[in-house]
Amino acid sequence: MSKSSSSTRLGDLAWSKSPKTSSSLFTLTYGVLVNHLCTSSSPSSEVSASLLKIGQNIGTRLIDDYISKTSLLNPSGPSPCSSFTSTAESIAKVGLKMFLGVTADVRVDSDVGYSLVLSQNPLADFVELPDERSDLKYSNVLAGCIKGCLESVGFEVEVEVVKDTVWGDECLEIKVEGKGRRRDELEGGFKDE
Amino acid sequence: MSLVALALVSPDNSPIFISTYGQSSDPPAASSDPISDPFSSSPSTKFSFIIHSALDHLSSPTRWQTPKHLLQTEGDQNQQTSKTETAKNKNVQLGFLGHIVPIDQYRVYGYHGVNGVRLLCVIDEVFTSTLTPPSPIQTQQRFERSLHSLFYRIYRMYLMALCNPFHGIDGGENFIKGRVKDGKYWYPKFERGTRAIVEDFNENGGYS
Repeated sequence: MSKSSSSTRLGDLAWSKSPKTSSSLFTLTYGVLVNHLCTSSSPSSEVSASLLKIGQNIGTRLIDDYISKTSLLNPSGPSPCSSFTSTAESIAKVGLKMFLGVTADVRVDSDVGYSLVLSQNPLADFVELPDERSDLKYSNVLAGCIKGCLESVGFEVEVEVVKDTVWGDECLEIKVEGKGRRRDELEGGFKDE
Repeated sequence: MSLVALALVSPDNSPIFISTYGQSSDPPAASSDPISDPFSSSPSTKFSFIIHSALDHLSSPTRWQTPKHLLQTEGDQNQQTSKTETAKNKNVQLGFLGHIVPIDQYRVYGYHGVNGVRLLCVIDEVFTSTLTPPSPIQTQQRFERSLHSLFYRIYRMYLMALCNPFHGIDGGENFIKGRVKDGKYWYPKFERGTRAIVEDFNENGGYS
């Protein structure tokens, strides 16, 4: 499909222009972060929630970078995502490629939901979860990042890691469910005086 | 020739990992769980003893030279690495150490990793291959070359296991502590991967 191939080309172009870092450094740094969270809070659910929050903070900042780079590289290109499902292509082929160097396959589940399937998880090289942490959502920061990005552009979403390579699955699958659009409201309101 | 035991030893000579492979004529209770406590079952005790003796030889002042036939082979990165490392570190021989000591019908080979970890393997000397070797020396050299690459692959697996972010928390400081605490292997991926490499090596009659 032409949109898909133009997204792929845009993603590859953005990736080629991005500064690169060592993947081992990135993976090990993330591992240290998760390690530290595990030692400081006990239940895996709390750690997973912290990782989601961290991801959201990253996402809200990353979206500006993404928009500026894509509009710079593709000034006559496709307009901002018109529907919820078109965000899937943008994330999978452009966003993930630009920032992580990997692309994902999109599986559309419904009008308001899709799944991103990554065959390789760059966050989880070398990782083996201990038995006490077998239910830890190790890649939750990625889910949080997607959530943060989408919420910044006005989509209310629920994002969840469904399958992960650290749990023994063959891929990393992230499920995104739309919960409607968010209308910005002026805080406090204006009162006509 | 088959590889019957493998050990990883830390720089301060404490064991990190010991495992036995292959057939054993001892009672099934001992061999059914090959990853058993080394001090409670007889085949592992025997190999522990052999490995300790080999360690004594390693810490002797005799300088270990990588065999010449390994240094001369072109196009093999492992051996070139050991050549350059030898030039840099005059006190410690790095890389493939070659044959260390013969004990009973076994021979022990060693590999010195860059971070100080030593790998030792015990080879059963009974020649099990059905191929007629061209000459004993060439067979030996070819065998040692394949052993060199086996050591390198196992060492790489060990390094990857070290990169696990959960290494050192909830399971102790090293492989063996983790195992004792949980009662089972902390690093199933490393153990499985090593076993696969060794079994592949043994199936090919000692050549990989």
